[in-house]
Amino acid sequence: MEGAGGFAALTSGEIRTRRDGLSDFLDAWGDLRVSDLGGLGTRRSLEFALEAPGQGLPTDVKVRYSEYYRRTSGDWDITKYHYEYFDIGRGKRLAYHLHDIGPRRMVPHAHCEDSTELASQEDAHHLRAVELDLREAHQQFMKLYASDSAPDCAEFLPLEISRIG
Amino acid sequence: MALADTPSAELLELLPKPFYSPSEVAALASLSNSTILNYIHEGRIAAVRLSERTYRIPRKAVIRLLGLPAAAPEVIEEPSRIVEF
Repeated sequence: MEGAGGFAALTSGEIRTRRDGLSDFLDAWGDLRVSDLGGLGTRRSLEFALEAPGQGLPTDVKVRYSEYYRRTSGDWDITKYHYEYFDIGRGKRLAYHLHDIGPRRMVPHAHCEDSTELASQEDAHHLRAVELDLREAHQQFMKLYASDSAPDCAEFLPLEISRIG
Repeated sequence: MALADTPSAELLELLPKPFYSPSEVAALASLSNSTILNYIHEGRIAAVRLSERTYRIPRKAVIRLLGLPAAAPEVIEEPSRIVEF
């Protein structure tokens, strides 16, 4: 069954498979912390927090991937995601989000800005972006990291939410 | 000394960079370049593609490939936690 935002709803078993598969995938990139909260209730979050390169080297980048699910008819519909990348040396943040903004439902967008830490709150400056899977976002972030490049915030157009007339 | 017993100081000396080219990994693992590229294409080793012919392999993936001690992920599973969002 297709849930909000065009994503298929996941069974509890599929959520576990996704969590374990992503844990194994992301563990190859640095020091990883995984949290899976709320699986017995109606709201559940998966979070993957990664510090790279890890294993005794100073941290260059931090990423945090959070997905939020709501249980509907037994299965789990994703209701929002936050895929965050923070380049410590450059003080730059790039993020891809999917969530409601005002009256609009499930709006994919980006954030790109100077920052001093991984963002913990939503800010108002939304940029246009397409919907991404976690692995796609991760490949983009790691390409920036491996090529020693800063996110090019100028390549994003502002997101215009209101349509009048 | 077996690779798996390599202490962290030696690990830092052996692998001081965050990323490695396929040829560097091939040399470290005593494998051919084509074997490492096959591993990448088969998804057996993590890598990021910088251009058509340029890949970079993250250090932790090299550690795992070499069979060196690798930090396991910290997993927190709390099914009864009330989640607010």
